[in-house]
Amino acid sequence: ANRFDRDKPGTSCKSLKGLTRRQMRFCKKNIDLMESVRSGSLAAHAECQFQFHKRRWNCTLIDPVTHEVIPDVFLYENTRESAFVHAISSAAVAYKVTRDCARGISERCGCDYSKNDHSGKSQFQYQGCSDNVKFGIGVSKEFVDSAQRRVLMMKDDNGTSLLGPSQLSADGMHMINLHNNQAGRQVLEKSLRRECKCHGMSGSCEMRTCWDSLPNFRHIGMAIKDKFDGAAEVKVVKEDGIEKPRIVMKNSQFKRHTNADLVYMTPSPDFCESDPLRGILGTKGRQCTLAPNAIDDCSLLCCGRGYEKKVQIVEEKCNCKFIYCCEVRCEPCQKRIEKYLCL
Amino acid sequence: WYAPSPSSYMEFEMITCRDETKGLSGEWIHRDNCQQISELSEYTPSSFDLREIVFIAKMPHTRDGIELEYSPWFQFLLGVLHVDVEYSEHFKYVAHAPLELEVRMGYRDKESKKNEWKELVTSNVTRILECTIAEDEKKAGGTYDCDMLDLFELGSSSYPFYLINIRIPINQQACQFDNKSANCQIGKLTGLRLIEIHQNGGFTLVWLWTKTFMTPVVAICLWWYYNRINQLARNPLLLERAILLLGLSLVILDFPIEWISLTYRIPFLLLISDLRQGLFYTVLFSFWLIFAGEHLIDDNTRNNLKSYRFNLSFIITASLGLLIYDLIERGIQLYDPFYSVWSSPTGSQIAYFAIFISAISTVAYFIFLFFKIARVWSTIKSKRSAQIYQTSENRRLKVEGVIYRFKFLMLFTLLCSAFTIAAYFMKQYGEAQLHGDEARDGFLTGSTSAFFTGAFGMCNIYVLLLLAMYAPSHKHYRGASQLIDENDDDEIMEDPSNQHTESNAMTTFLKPSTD
Repeated sequence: ANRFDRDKPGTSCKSLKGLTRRQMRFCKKNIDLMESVRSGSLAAHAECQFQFHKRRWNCTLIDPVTHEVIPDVFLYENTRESAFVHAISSAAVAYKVTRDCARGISERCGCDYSKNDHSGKSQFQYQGCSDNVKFGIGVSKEFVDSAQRRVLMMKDDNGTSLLGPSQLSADGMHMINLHNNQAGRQVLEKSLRRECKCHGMSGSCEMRTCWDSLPNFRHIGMAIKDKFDGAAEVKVVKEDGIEKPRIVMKNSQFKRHTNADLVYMTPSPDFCESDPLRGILGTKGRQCTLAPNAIDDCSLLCCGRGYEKKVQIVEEKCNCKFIYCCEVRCEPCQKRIEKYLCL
Repeated sequence: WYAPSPSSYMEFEMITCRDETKGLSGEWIHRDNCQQISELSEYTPSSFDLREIVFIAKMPHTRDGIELEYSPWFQFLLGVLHVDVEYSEHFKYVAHAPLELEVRMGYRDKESKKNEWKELVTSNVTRILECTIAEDEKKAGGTYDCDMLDLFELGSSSYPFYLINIRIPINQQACQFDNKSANCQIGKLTGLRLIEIHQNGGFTLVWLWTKTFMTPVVAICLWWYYNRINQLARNPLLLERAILLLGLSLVILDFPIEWISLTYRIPFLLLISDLRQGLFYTVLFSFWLIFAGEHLIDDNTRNNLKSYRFNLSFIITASLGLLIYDLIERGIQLYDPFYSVWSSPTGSQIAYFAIFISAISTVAYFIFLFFKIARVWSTIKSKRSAQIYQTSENRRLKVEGVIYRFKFLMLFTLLCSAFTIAAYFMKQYGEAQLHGDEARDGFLTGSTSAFFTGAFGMCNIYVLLLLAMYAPSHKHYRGASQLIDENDDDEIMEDPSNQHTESNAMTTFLKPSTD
């Protein structure tokens, strides 16, 4: 099942599609970590679909039939949804790498990503080797962010004297994406739970060691979803004299966004009608409910086009009995289900 | 120069493996022969007792491609276990569920082959699993928030590698018979996480050198003090003996016995260091009490240990309580590192009782101490106002000397404790900062080890100064301004020990200023 052959990093990495040149280099250098990165992006996708399954846009990024990534152009437009996808992806990669490092699966995990001097054993003896989370975040920074660096690099090559408006907007988009990646990792860092153990004299707290433990990934997904709901609309401005463009609030009356807040530039489309060129599937055929205040209420989800009622008879498990140990036996029974589908 | 924090941890998320032999073969399960179960909740066991599922962790991890090793410099290793329990309608978690683990811990030497593990200890570990869950989490996929469990405590880290195999067996019949049996109500277990904690080698280094440096200094000082006392014509006073004892206990506390642990395997070191610290605190507390008591100028029952027995009994009780607790917990851990007093109901009752008694006694001790100090203050005030203009030079000097000595130690003690408390809070603040939003590297974050060495140094300086300042002078004072120490004037004629009057260093300092 391991798609990554550690002996042949070159071919394994080439089989992955959609990597930038820098990511490809990362892949070849850290083939050990790629399995974690891959499971991270799968987790991000699953979490995104869970968080959005009741919305008009239900985070369909992979075509269910062809198993290919949908060219979701609107995600390149710096919408709220794009912000969410960026944040959850970078958080998920950091999360999975951290967990896999704690499992001891990868031998490439490091003690501290920021330091490059691998003094190894003596370093460990002298001051220990603790932080998996920092390492996971470091990997996420390098891998996920390097999908964004390309244009910024080009800017450096061109020099900063003359930037066309298109260049600025491309730069801005990448800045926004980088910000959202960073925000995802910040949410991850903030949702760590600190736990401590006292081990002084007679177990007193004279000596104490604390560590951060990761919560369930669902918690992180929820937190990023909250950030999605409170995302700030911003614009990127280039001021004279300052080399780097800045992200400022579009409406200056609102409080400035923090590093952990999601930002977007373009208002989202309504996702009602299908627009394959932009990667929007539309809500036709989506299932909805008849609860007036729900997010997936039929009038809301179907954009006023109406809905049809379908009655299905399905077989379900019922009268389940729990048999010690570890087995659940059920009886099959038929159930009538009413489904509402958008027209 | 960078001093590392006193301890560090490593997290191990235990890998689940399938072992068809159910552990009967006695084979070690490790990473290379593990038939990994990727998702425990989707796995259907072929047996009912679940012994085929093994949770494994090899300590320490490999990092940066280098196989790390534990070193004797780490002094101790202790393990904390996190149990991840998911909410499930079928496998219900019931509060205070007993959890029983079959743990095998193996070790490997540096020379032996990669997977040649030797048995260190095999133990059946029983712990109580305490978990909570929020109401809105009570759905499939929701997770319980479980308290961590103490797993093991090794008093020495003498092997470079360890391997842990854990099985969580379920006895179906016992569960049907009595669902309070072990592992029947632990819920849907999704994983085990192990946190290993050890002292940092760098901290041990700093600490050991501090001790090695301090021991001869304190020892020489103590020897000097002892000589001073021996040169006296009279028997040493109670206070002087108390200071002597304090110095002695500090030498014992300082003595760098830990050097031996770097070459030999001595697991009882953890216990010994606890005992040494306990001894020092007991003597220090007793000393404060005696010091305050000996300065009650008008109390004639002084210089007699018996008169303190009521107050001293609090200290003795407190120390005894902690001693018993420590002997049970750390003592039995010498034989079984997985032992914990807290795991059994009787054990935890005894432990609670011992700690409760100690806490009560300590509080009572401090109440009496403050009461005594308050009495000394009030005596001092009344003495001052009554006797400041008294004609007797001796009497005045004596009282002034007593007052000055008392005030000096009082202020000094307060200063030391203020520094210690301030340092403690700085340490706590530094740790809190570690968890802050963005300020990941506040300047206080590295202060933890500074706190320990600081507090330790303060302790040493405190005792050293006591030894130096309160040593009795061996010089004889004759003439008009003869200083008379401690005892009341009225008793001079009757008490033969006062034939040769001795003075304290402190009163000697005082003499020129009051002349």
